[in-house]
Amino acid sequence: MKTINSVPPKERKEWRDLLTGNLNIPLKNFFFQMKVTQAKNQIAMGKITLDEAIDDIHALCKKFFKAKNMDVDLANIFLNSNELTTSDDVYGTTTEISTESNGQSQNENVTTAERKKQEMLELLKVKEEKMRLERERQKLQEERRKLEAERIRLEAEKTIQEKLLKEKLKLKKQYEELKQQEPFDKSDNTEVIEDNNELNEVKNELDKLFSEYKTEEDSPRKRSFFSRMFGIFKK
Amino acid sequence: MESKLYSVDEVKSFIKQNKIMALAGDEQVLDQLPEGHWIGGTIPYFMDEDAGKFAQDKIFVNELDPKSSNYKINVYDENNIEQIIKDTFNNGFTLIIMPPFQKVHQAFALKAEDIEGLYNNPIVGWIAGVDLNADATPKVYNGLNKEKFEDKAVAIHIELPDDYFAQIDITNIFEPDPESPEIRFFFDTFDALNCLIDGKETNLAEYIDKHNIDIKLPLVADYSGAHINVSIKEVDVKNGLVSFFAPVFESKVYRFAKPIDNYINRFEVKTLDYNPDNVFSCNCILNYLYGEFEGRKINNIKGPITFGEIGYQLLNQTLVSLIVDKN
Repeated sequence: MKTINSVPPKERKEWRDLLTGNLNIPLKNFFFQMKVTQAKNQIAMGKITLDEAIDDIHALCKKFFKAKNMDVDLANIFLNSNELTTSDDVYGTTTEISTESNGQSQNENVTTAERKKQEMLELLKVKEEKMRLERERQKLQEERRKLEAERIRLEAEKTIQEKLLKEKLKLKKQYEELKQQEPFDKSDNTEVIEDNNELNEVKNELDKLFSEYKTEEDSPRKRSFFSRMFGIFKK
Repeated sequence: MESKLYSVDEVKSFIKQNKIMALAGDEQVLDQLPEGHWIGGTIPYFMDEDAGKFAQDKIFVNELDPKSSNYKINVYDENNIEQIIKDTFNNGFTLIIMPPFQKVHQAFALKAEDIEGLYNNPIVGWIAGVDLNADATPKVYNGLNKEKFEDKAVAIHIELPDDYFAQIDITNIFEPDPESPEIRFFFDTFDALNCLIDGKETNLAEYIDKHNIDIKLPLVADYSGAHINVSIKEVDVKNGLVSFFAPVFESKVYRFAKPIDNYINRFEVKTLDYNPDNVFSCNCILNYLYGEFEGRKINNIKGPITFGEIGYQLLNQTLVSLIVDKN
């Protein structure tokens, strides 16, 4: 059995491991067992910090270093930590005979005891019901959070789908318009031909302007190129 | 002075000698004692030097260490029990006697772990009791003025010289049954209706009834290697209620204790290394009854048989000892 001569410094990592549950060693010294359990609990509940707990437990381990099995526990933690891992209603009678026994009949005692018990039962039921309702409330809150998240997701999806639908309708409309403009009937295509002639005129004019623009040095004419282009398109 | 049962006259002479003592005895004998440096509590069951016995004419005496240099006695109720640590000495121990199921008893049992500095010095003690077949009320005494209480706790704080220290040791014959389900409670309580059994909300009384659980076996929680019992007081199937002799805590995981073939034999084995030179020791009335200790000697175990034991916290079905050693 390994032993240790003194309490290791509180900077040693094993203290933290012991109190955070990273090192689960069944201890042997009663004080140490109870103190470590209390410290872990208080850390978990946010009542003390890990550093405060280490300071406290370290000081007490020093005070009780000579206590039974303390050296063995510390050796197991600090010298050996890699190998060790996680390891008939007796009192009821007194309740009934408690404070109301002076001169009262047994029946009265029984009635009083029974009444007290019923009151206690009622209180307990209310407390448990309260706890149950609290758990239900938390559960419902969680459900509500989930539903809200789902609602947001669905809403986003709906917006995207609406946009897609609008685009689709727009395209369909354009397609319908284009379809109406198609010269299917060759005997009645005068307007289309006129349009084509007009387009050709515009194209020619643009080609002419663009060739002028390419060959000319910087000039007032060139600078007015865009305004003329704008004029053509406007026309 | 040896810890054992003494006659009333012998105890009176110890009081005259100014001995600092913790006394245990029937109310009628404690009432006869004069004022002095003692605290006391009622109980007529003992483990004496020769055997377990029921005695109403004698007093069990624990001299609270002749090395003690200073002491003080304080009375506590549910409103000031949390002050107990502030009353202790820098180095020493505290012995407290409480009446059962009074507000102070419940307050201490439920809040002990939250008391700042609880582990700075050992706190041991016991819950007073009475003859189980009689109509009486447990009492505790402050020997300094012979005040007697049935709803307050009395504690004696002992200062030890710097080169001495006190420590608590416990003997528990129970361990969690690995085949038991995990039991968790919704809040800290002496009485429970529903709990989580293997994660499923279940009525504990119905579960115990349905599975024929032996209620002589306590629930056991693991405190970093220490097995801490919570004994079952009553199972009321009709109302779905289970009452305990000590509180169950929300933060702990409980299991039913592993069944024991031979109660007294198990106790004998577990107490082979019992230190008879302790300053104080007490054992549970349930062990005394279930183990049929009356008329039997078990190693060198001595002390009052109590309605609850205190070793920092309220314990059940546990032998508690206080030992003073040299540093």
